[in-house]
Amino acid sequence: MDKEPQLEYDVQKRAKASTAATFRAVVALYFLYLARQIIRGAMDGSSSMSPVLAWIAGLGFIAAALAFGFYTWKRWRAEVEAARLTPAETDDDTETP
Amino acid sequence: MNAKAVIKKYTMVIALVVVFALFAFLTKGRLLYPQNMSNLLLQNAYVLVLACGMLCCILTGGNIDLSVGSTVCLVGALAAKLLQVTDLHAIVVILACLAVGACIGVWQGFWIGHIHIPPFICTLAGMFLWRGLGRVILASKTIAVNNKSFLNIFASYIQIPGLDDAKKWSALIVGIAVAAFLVISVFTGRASKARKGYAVDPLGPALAKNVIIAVLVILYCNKLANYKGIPVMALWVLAVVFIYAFITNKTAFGRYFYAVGGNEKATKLSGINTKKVYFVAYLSMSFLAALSGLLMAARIGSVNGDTGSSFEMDAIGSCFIGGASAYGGSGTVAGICIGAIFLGVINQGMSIIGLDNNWQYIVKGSVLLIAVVFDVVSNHKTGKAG
Repeated sequence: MDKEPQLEYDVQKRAKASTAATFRAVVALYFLYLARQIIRGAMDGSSSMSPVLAWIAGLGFIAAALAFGFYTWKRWRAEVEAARLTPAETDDDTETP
Repeated sequence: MNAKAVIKKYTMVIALVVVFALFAFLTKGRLLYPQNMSNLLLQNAYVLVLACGMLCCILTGGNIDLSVGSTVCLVGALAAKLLQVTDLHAIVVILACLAVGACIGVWQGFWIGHIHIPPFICTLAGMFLWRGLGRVILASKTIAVNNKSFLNIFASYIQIPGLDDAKKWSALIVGIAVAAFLVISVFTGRASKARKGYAVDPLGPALAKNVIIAVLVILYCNKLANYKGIPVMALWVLAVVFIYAFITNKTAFGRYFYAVGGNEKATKLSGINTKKVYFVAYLSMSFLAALSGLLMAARIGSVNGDTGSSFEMDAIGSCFIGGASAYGGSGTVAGICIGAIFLGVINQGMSIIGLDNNWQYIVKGSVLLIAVVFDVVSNHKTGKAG
């Protein structure tokens, strides 16, 4: 049985994609942190913002976090796929003895 | 260089100018008061210091350090406690605290660089560990920092007798000297390049850029001169920024951070000790977090268990907005400084207006959201995902 060809990637492009994805993931987490702070501020009375507005803003940031997180994952997958080397690029140039 | 290219290259600088003008308007000019301009630097000193260290971690491949806020708390707590219960001189306390920061960096750098624990996990553990230790030291209390020597080292102002008695002329003199250096460096740089046979860029744009920066430096130093003069904290921040700018731009080891982030395997195969690069990145980050802890303790005058909360987010936010990673994986100290000042102007402006905490979070989040939209739209236009 023939072996399945190993997937090979342009290491630099894949590293760049992972770097950017990590960063975007942290930004998404920051949105969640902001949502938590806003809602907590309204719940414990430390903020003068109306609770309704705080919940709307908090849920808005949660939605932004989820949307950006999903976008980050999709973009990472697309960039890693784009980093995949074509069969022509992975062909061995050496002659078989 | 056409207008579109200029706008693309200086997007963040333009955004900073717009935000500054907006808040100057919204605060009815109070943002421009000498005291507020001085506080703008002092309140954001910790972000600039942390962002320099975070840049090195990010350059190694998108890694971050989540423990910096907790390190700030622990070191601040240690400094406050030592100053309160012992008779140690402030310098001894400072050196001890910096050594503790370095030990934290050695600990985390070892697990990340040599044992290959994912940085997210290791620094997440550190985030709980160091803050817990800080709270143990504080015994859940707030400790005031009153030691005059300690405060003089970090929170005082440059005062030259005879020169700074009324208006702080030393600040203005420094500003003029820096401005002159910036303008002269354009000509000396071009002459040096021409002598070595390199192609020389047109004089106009480079001179215009440096003249604008020089004028801003003089205006800012004039503001400082009308308040209390140059804060000593500014010297600490500038020293860190210049050292890291030099290391990342002009030294071989500084370029190793970029190399590891680009292609770790190739970097290793070319003979560079990648374990050492990771180790040094996290060692320097924790060391700078310790320095930030000392700056914060001196600035605020007290330390409690919540000191340093969300500092890592501020540093990362500065790096993201300053373009450290999202726009191509490369980053510069200048970029993160702009990002840090950008967030600092927004924080300062909102404080002056007296905006409620929740509204401040909403504004910060909205700014980040704009940066995110920019990132998504620019990717869509260039089709980079394909």
